[in-house]
Amino acid sequence: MISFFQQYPEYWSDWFARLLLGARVSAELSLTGFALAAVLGALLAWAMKSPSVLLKRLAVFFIQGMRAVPLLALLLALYFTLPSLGLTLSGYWAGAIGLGLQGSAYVAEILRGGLDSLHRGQRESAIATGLTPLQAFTSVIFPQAIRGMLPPLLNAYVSILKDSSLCALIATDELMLAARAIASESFLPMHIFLLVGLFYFVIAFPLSLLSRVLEVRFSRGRKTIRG
Amino acid sequence: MSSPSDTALLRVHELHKNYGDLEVLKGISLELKPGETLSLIGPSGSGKSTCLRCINYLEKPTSGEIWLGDELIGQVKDGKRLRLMSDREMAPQRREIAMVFQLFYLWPHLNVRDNVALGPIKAQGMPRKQAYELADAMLEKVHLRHKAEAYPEQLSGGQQQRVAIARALAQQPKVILFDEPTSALDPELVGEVLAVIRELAEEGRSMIMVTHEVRFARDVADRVIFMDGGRIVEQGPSAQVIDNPRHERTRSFLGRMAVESA
Ligand SMILES: Nc1ncnc2c1ncn2[C@@H]1O[C@H](COP(=O)(O)OP(=O)(O)OP(=O)(O)O)[C@@H](O)[C@H]1O
Ligand SMILES: [Mg+2]
Repeated sequence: MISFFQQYPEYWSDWFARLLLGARVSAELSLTGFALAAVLGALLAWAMKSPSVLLKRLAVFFIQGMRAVPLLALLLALYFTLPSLGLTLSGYWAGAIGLGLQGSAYVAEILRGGLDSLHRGQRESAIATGLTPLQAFTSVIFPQAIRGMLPPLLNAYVSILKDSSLCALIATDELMLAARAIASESFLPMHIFLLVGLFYFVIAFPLSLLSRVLEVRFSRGRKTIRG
Repeated sequence: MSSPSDTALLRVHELHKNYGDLEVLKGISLELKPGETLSLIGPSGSGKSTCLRCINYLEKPTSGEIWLGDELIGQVKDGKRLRLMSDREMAPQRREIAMVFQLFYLWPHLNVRDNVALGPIKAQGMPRKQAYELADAMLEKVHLRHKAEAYPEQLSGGQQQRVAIARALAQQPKVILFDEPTSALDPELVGEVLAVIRELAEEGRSMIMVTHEVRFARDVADRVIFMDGGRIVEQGPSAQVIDNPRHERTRSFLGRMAVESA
């Protein structure tokens, strides 16, 4: 057991530098994926709320589809199949788009749930006061809904971050791929993957914690926030 | 299309509302004169709320017309035909028809002053400073100036409803609609809200109020309309309708109300 940990000092500086580089790409990749998920998710939520039955059906269909497809299959399709249709994506972008597409299904449900959690009287009183629907949304609906949405959105980001490790399989130079490279050079896979787990944990755990804190805080009511 | 009458401020003409096969309003016509307080009473399910909500198009009437002065509410000429306005198009009209809800619907993320000032700022484009002055003046009217910094959840139900009334006043409406403004309140808080509404009536505001407070309707309203089954059964000066109803259905309704409140 002791000898296991004795390996670390020897290689530490080399491993750490390379893993850090990979972690940076993982962070960028997952943030890009999340940004795509947020934009597309907002569009989907809007479509589900729209009076057009066609839009609603399309949105629901897309969301169900995205939930049914394994992420790895989606990534492989984007990376290996699209080129045969004349569209070649780098591993990074195939990864970001795959994460964004699948994440958007979850984001859309979070946004819709957040909006649905408000009583319809909130919107009615806003438009009865003479606000336009857009003003009602920006001044009355969204500021209230976002409180409930923030914790699950953080969790959705954490999921995307963890899922981004699958992008190693489509040659994205992120944390997991860096780890695999080091592991195959050093013949110390256990050591490396333990370290990688720690890397993910260090990024993801504080976010999960923050999500939990926000959740508790928001459910306690506003008095505690606004003083 | 009928033309607006000369004296009425608000005119409801042949209002019908169906929910699927259910005909909830079966041709309601009524007028509100400037400065008049009109009270709408009737049994549960008779269509009072629906009627009120059709006036500012929170519900879309199946047919009929609402006129505010010489302005047709909620519909606009599109070529030769009338079509429904969108909520965005309707915003300026709704600004002129304030509504006070049974459950207040204050905005919990805004403090009391912001609740009152938001309408003026957004709908009237009023500068914030001026809107706050207006808000404070309206809060003074409902005797809650000292609660301007509080959040809605820190207030009692009666205070929340008075804030909602201040919010309605701040939109500088021509008409105020009240949908059972006291029926969600604890009995001991009803009085303070009714007192404020009475002051508004005495100021000569034009108001339509759905209420179960029959005695209040008799004392404060100029006229009372009794609805049942989606129709107006009887209307007239409040003392007459409540003290000497002509129709049997009015009589039995008032009798039941008297027993309940006794
Ligand atoms: N959105 C809706 N869909 C279907 N039916 C509805 C809807 N809103 C109201 N109704 C029906 O319309 C009828 C009239 O309802 P309304 O709320 O206008 O009555 P009310 O006179 O205000 O009653 P109350 O005194 O209980 O408030 C009721 O039978 C009600 O069930
Ligand atoms: Mg009602």
